[in-house]
Amino acid sequence: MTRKLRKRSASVRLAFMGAAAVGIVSTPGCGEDVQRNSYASLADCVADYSEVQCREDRPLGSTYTGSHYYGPWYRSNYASRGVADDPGEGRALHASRSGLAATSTHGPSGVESGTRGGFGGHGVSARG
Amino acid sequence: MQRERIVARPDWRERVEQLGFDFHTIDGEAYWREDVCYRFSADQIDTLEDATAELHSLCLEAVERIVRDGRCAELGLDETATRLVERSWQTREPALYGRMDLAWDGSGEPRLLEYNADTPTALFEASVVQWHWLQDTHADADQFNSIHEKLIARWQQVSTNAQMHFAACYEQPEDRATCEYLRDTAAQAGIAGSALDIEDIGWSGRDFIDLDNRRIETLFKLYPWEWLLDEPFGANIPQAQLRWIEPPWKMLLSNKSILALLWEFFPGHPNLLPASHRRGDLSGNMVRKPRHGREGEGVIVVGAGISEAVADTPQVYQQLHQLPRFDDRYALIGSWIVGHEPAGIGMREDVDRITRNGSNFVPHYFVE
Repeated sequence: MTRKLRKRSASVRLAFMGAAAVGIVSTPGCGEDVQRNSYASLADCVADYSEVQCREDRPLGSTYTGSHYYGPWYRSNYASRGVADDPGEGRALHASRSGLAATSTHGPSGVESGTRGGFGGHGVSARG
Repeated sequence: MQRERIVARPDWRERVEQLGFDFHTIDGEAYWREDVCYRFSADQIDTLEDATAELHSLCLEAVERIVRDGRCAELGLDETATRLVERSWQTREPALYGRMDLAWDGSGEPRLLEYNADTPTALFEASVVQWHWLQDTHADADQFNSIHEKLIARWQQVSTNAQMHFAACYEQPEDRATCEYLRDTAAQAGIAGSALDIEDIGWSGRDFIDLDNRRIETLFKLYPWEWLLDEPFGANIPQAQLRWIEPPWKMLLSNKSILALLWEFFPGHPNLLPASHRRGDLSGNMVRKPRHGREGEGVIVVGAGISEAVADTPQVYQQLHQLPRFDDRYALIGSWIVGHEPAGIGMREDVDRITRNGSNFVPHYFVE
């Protein structure tokens, strides 16, 4: 009697492992905070970033349903670290902090904070 | 079931490294060994496959009973964890994979020692490295290992999004390889995956976000549920709109207390061992396991005349069932489930009777 079925994979091909490096972009480490700027208008946001980086959203933790515009999340310590893949604080805040000429727009109306580093505290392999 | 001494491929190191297997040696000691292998008969493989399917069925039934009867607290789950488990089970959130550790010498019934249902590793070597070893050395034989093709098929059932995130402790080579391998199989299923270290996950106040500050909608995490819930972001988990892989209900099966509940639900089952939270319920020699131990950590053998140190965490007792010994090595069978199907095995062996992180991985094959 011949065997019913093979029990091994017909082929084992890898799409990117082995040949390519792991696609980790950076490792900012534990405990880095993030924040985003809020704007009274889309125009103010676009003046700081670009249109694709701006979105309409509700304030965090609020039931307020009116329109607010937000730039992308960026690291709170962006100014001191200058991480390459970080969108940064926006042109208006950058100009203000650097003593450059003020931009012609209103700049952000506020800043909302988020956080990073709230997972990974065990810091050891999950191997099991 | 036999252990065979064979000649390793002369270029084995280069061969496995080409696959991306860079932890074949751990702390200077061999982890991958191919100067030995295990040989099974086809009937023996059928027995392993049937036992794995049966145990998987028992485990799902156990989850159903625990949730239905409100017994999560017996596994140490608090209210938050319980709600997560209940919600994910009641909506039948799909699981990807798991690995049962079985004790078996090739005759009688395989016995479940534990179920690594949440963050199982030793996956890449079982699915990929030993498959290529078979191609090179025993091409006419078969291997109980369709893990790779089952993973690709399962991803298409598990993920509802074409974009996923994969998080692990990427500084750990084994964790990185496991997570990257799963990301690779997901890509072959048409799912684009972004990798990030578990530490890099952010919380925006409403969503978990990645390094580009995009909302994470589906997350494969190679990070135990009990750790996630214990850490600062754990408080955000209940409010996050996020599909987790593995889903929260896997917390019940990766918890050693499930061994005691399985024995309560299915007493005398031939694939189970007597187990209890109370030492006095068992007689003779037994193994004491921490509820959340991994890779043999904290496992001790206790019994008559053997003193038992006081534990500072909840423990489970399981009747001692010796691993089979071949030459001077104790052999453990890691039997993989992908979705709801048995998918293959990986052999581990050690001079010690407790299998640990550095225990060797040894390939296998079977013949008619």
